[in-house]
Amino acid sequence: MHRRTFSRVAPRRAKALFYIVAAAALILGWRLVEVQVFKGPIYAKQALAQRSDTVDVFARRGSILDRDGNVLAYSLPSESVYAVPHDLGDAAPTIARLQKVLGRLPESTTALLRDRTLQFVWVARKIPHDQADAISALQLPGISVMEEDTGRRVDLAGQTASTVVGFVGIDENGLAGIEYAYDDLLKGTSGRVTLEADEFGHPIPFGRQRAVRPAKPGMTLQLTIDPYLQFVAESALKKQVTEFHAQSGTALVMDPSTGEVLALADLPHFDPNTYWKFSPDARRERAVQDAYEPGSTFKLLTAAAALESGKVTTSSYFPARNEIEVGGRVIHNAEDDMPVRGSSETLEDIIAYSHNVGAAEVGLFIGSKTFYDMERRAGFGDATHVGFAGENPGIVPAPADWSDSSLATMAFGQGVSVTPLALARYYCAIANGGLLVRPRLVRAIFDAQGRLVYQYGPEIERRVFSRRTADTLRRFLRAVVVRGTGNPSAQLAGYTTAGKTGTAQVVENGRYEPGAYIASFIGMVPYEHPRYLIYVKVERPQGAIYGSVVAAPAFSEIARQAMLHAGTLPATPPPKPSPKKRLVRPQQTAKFTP
Amino acid sequence: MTFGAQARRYAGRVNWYLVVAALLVTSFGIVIIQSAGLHTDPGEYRKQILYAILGIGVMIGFSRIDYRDLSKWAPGLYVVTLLLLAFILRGGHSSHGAQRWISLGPLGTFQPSEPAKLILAISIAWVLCKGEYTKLTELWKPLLMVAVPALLVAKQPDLGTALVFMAIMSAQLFFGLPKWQHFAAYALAGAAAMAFAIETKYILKPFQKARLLIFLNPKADPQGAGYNLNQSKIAVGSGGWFGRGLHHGTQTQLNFVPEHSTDFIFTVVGEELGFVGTVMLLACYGVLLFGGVIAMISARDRFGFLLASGIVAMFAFHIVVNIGMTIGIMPITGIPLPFLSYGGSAVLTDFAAIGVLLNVYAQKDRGVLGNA
Repeated sequence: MHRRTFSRVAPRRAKALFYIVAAAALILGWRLVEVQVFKGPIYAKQALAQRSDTVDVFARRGSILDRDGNVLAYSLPSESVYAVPHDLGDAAPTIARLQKVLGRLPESTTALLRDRTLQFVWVARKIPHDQADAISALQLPGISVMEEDTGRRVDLAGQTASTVVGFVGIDENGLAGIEYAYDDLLKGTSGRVTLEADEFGHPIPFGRQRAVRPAKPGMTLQLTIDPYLQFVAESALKKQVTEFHAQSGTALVMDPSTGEVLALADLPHFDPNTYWKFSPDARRERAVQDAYEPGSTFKLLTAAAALESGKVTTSSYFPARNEIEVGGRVIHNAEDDMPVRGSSETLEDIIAYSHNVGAAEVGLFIGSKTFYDMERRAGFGDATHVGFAGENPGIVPAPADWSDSSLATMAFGQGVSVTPLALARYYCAIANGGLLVRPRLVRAIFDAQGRLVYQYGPEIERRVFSRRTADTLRRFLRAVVVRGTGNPSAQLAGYTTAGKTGTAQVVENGRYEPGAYIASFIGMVPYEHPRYLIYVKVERPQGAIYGSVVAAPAFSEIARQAMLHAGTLPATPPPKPSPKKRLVRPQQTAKFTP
Repeated sequence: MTFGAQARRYAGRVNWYLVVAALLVTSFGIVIIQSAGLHTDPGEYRKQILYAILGIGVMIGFSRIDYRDLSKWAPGLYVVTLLLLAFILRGGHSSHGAQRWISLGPLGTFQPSEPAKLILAISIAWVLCKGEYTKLTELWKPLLMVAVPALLVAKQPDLGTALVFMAIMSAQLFFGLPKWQHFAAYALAGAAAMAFAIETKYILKPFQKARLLIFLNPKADPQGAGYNLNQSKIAVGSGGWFGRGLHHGTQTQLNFVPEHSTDFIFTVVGEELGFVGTVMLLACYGVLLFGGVIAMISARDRFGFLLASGIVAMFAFHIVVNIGMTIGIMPITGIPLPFLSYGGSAVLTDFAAIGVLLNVYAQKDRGVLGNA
C-alpha cells in the first residue's frame, strides 16, 4: 500500500473501529445494567436458594440416670470410618493399619475392602473419638472419617441394670428396655435448619443459619433404680444362680408404698455397648416378659380371698390331710408329713408350712367366684404398665374355662401364670396395707437443660383388700419365716423379715417338665412397717429345688444390705442382765474432832 | 537542560493512559485474586504480585526496544512460537483436560499460546508491510500465517486463543487492506468458515460446540453445558448495585462458579463489588483501549500502526469476549481478562504488549525529540 493511500484510508477506518468498539462497550454496559441492576434481586434470590440447604438436624438423645443421678447411659457425638475401596490401592497394608487402631475387623468388612469395584464401605461405625482421631492421623488414601448425624450411645453401667436400660441400634433408635419404651421422649424431635452451603452441601463457616424448626434435644430420664440395691440384687442373684447351676434368675426390690422399682436384676444379662454379641435370650426383660406358674407364693391370694370374703377367719380350721382328690385329680403336699388323721390346721398353718392340700381345701371352700374376683382385684391377668413395651399380662383363666380341678390347683398356684413384677405388685399390697400400686421404673423427666419436666408420684390403682386383711396376711408371712418353710433361711439376725417360699414346676408345652423347677422367695423387711419388698426367682436350679434353699438366701442378703443401706443397723437383743454383784463399800467412819 | 525539563520531556513521551490503566487494573486484579483464592488457593495473589512486578520490568524493557526492530525478529519469533506450540501437543503439561502448558519445574508452568498472541500481531504486521495487497490472492500469506498456530492451539484444545489470533489478524487486515471490498470478502468468507466449523462435527469437539452455543439458550442444560454460564450470571447478578463486599461473594468463594481466579474472575468483581465495581473496571479498560488507540494513530509508520491495531484488537477482544461470556452475551471460551486474571504468561504478555504500544507512541514525534 502506498503511504498516501494508507494515510487517506486509515482515519476513516479508525472511525469505523471506534463505532464498533463503542457499540461493544454499550452492549456490555447495557447488559451489566440488566444483569446487575434490574435482575440483580432475582439473581441474588437464586444465589441464596442455591447455597441454602435445608437439612434435618438430629436432636441429641437424652440420658438415662439412676435414682441418685448417676449416668447409666448417655450419648456422645459420634464418628464413623468409611472407605472407598476403589481408591484404596493395596488393601492389605491399609487393613493392617486400620486394625492396629480399631482392633480386628470382621471378615465381611475386610472382604468388602478388597473389592476394588466398590465406592463405599463402612469400616467401623460410631467409634470412640480417640480412635477416630487416630484414623484421621494415619491419612490413609481412600479411608475417611465422618461425623454421624446421630450420636454414639455409651452405657456407663455396662451389664448392671442392662435389661432395664435396654439398648439402642446403630441409628440411636431404642430397641429394648427403657431405651425402647421411652424412645420418643429420649430421642427428642429433630429440627430443620436452612444453612448456607457450598457446591457440595458442606455448611459454610460463619454462614447464616436459619432454623426452620429448632431441634429439641431428648429428655433425660431418672429411673427409680437405686444403684446400690441394683448391685446387691445382681450379686445376690448371681451367687444363687451360680451355686445351683440355674438357667436364669430374676430379682426385684420395690418400695411397697410407692411402687418404685429400686432394683431389677435379670440373669443372664448383657452389655448394651456390645448388645449384638449377646443372644436375644440374654437381652430379655424377664421380670415383665416371663409369665410362669407361681406355685406356693400364690397361696397368699387364696388366703386374701378367704379372709376378705369373711368366709374364713384366722380361727377357722381345715382338716389337715396328706392328699385330697378333686375332679379326678389327687393333690399332695410337698411332703407327706401330716401327723395323725383327724387333726386340723388354721389358714396361718397352711401358709406357714405351705400345704397344697390345705390351700386347695380353702379354695374349694370359698368358691370360684370369690377366688376369681380376688385374682382380678389383685391385678393378675393384667399388665402392670410399669413402662416396658411387650409386657406379658400373664394368664388367669375365667371360671367358665376352668376344669373340675382348676379351683383346687389354682389355690396353690398351679394353672395360672403371672410375671415376677405382677406378683411383686400383689405382695406390695400386702406390705402397704392393701393398696395396689403401679410399679414404676421412671422417677422423673428432665429436659436437656436439667429442668424438671415431670415427676412421677405413686399411682394407686385400687384397694385390693382391707388393711385388716393385709395385716393378717403379713402376720402369716411372718409365721412362714418364724416357724414355717422360711425358717431359718429367710431369717435375718437383727431384722424382722416376712415372706413366702415358692417351689413351682416348669410348664413346657402345656405339661409339667419332670425335674424342672422354679424356686422363688418373696418377702418384705422389716416386718412391722415393710420398707422393702424383695423378690427372688431362680429358674431350673440343680441340686436343690426349694425356694427356701435356692432363693431365700438371696432374699436375706438383699434384705440385710437394703436395711443397712437405709441406715438401719441390726437390732441387737437386749443384753441379759448380769448377776447382781454386791457392792461392798468401805465403811465410812467419821471422826469428829471438836 | 535542567533535570526537571528532562523529566517533563520524558514524561511527555509516555502514554500515561496505557501505563495508569494497566497498573490500576493489575492492582485491582491482585485484590480480586486474593479474594477469589481465599478458600481455594490463598497463595495465588502473592504469585500474581510477583508476575506483575516482572511484568512491569518487561513493559519497561519493551518500551525501550525500537518497535521497528521487532519486524526484523518477526520470522524468528514466529518459527520459535510454532515449534513451542507443536511441542506442547506432544510433551505439554495438561490440566483440565487440555495441554496448554510447558512445565518449568519449580518456576511453575508456561503457556506459549499467550506470548504467541503478541508474536502473531508482530508477524502479521510485518507480513502486511511486506506487500502491496492490492490483489485478493495476496491474502494467503497472512491467512496461512494465522492458520497454522490457530490450528495448533485449537488442537490443545484452546478455541479461545485461536479466536484471539483471528481477531488480531482481522483488525490488522481491516486497517491494512487498501480496498475495503477485499476486507468485506475476507469477513464474509470468515463468517462462512465459522458457520461451517460450528455446523460440522469434524472441527469442534461436541463439548466445545455445546459451550460455544449454550449462551444462546442457557436454560437448555443448566447442570451441564449451561452450568458455568448460569452460575456466573447468578454470581454477577447477585452483586446488585454495590456488591456483597470483598471476600463475601458466596457464589464465587464457594466454587459454584469454577475458574473464578482466571477465566471467570469478572464474576468475583461483579458479585463482590457490584455494578459500581464492574463499571469502574470497564472504565479502566476504556482508558486502556483509548490509550492504545492514541498510540495506534500516532504511529510514525504503517508497521507501527498495524502492530498497535493488532494489540488493541487483542485487548478489546479479550475484554469484550471475557466479560460478555460471564453475562451471557458471548460464547464461553477460555480466554483471560487482561491484567485481571491470574496467570503469569498472560500478565507478562499483556505488559509486553503495553511496552510495545508505549514504544510506538514514544516515537510519534521522533523528529522533534531527536535521538532519544
